[in-house]
Amino acid sequence: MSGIKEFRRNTPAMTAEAEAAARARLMTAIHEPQGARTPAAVRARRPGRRIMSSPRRALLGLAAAGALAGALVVVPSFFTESEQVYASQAVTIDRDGDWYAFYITDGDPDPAELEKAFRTVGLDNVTVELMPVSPQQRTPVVGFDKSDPDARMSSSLSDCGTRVEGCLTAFRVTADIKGPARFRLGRPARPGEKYASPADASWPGEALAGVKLQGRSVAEAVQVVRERGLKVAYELDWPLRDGGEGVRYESDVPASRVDPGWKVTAAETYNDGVIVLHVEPGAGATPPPGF
Amino acid sequence: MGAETIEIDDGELIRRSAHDPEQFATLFDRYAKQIHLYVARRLGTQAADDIVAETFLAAFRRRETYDTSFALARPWLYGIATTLVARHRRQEERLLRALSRTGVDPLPEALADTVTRRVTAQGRERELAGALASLSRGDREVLLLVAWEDMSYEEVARALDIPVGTVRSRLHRARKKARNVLRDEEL
Repeated sequence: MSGIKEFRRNTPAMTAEAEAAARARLMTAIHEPQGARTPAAVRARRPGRRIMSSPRRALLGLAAAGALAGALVVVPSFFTESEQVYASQAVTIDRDGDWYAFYITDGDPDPAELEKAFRTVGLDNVTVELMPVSPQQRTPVVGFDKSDPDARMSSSLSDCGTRVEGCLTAFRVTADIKGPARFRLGRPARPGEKYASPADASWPGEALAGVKLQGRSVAEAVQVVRERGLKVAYELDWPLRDGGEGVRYESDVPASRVDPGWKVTAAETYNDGVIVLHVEPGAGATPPPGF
Repeated sequence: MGAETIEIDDGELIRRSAHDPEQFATLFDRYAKQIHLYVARRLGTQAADDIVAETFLAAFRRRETYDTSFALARPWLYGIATTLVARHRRQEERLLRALSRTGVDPLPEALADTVTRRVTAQGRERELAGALASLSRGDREVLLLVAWEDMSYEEVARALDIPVGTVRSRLHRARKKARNVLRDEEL
């Protein structure tokens, strides 16, 4: 039986003509005079905190002084190297071409301190919100909301471990963000605290790591969960009334409404002590009003 | 093995292309065909011809933004291609819905297979098309990069410029939404 991996696998390969045409377009660009510009990325990145070279250091010194005095900080736009522009116990900020790189060194930072750091480098309209996430699934940025369509964020900085000692996570954003923007950063959830975004319970590090409950009966799944000292909550996945693809989720369903013979479709962590079992109601089950 | 047969990694090629732009053409030779196949599976070969050409032009022009400490440029190039594919989202969904509805894939097939495949599009393929069409663009992109291109979550994160956690949650959501069709596929 064909699956998603096989879907449209017989699509014809690129023809020699198309390949030659695309390559020719690239070669034309390569031979244009501006193609010889020096890429910023070729500059060596040195590990450890860098010492700024003059006169940039002097300019940044002025910028920092401006921040202390409460004045608007104008960050020079002609940086040609990755340079440290801010450092505190919680965060180190580099300017790298058109980007700011952030290296977070505090596992549960104070949002106000991060916002202050952002303002110091000229990101005046950026707010920070910390979201409780599974301590095992921490990612630097849970969300990035912005009104500027050109603003970009990347959480794939590779030099977190070498750039700043004690770096936990790193990300970067385009330096010229216009309008308000909000970062939602993950912080480890406190014991019992509900996660802002659920994690699949079978993911590495989670309570049911490597255990597959999908397809098993509710009775079996509940036994597996309880053996681990965890509690169970239920969510029912009702098929759409029009027969279309997809389901509607009914949350906080009491155990009395869940037949032990129904099948589990997914298991998620709700917090460090509760597993939410997604259950497919059996044939003939009556959905509640609205489902 | 002689020194001349050792392959230079993509990051090093891009670094060298600063002063020797022609080095960049090697990236085209390494990745153009696979990116073409990926795009053609989504939008057809004609659109893929254009998108592959534009992908490498855009990549060359913005090569200075590439972090050369990443040895493989594949996620980066797929990311650029995906952005270009996104402009054709409605077209992609129209094609998928047509296949789902009629069992005939409007995308051109390899000639030898055309007749057989067009009459034998099974219910399963139609279901898959319907499910893919019903996903959000972001969820579909994550699912296809993992399922078709065998990318790791980290590679998908780099390609789409999103956190790894978002890759996980999008894949989770896509699986959940399309679970009747994906069933127990290993992704």
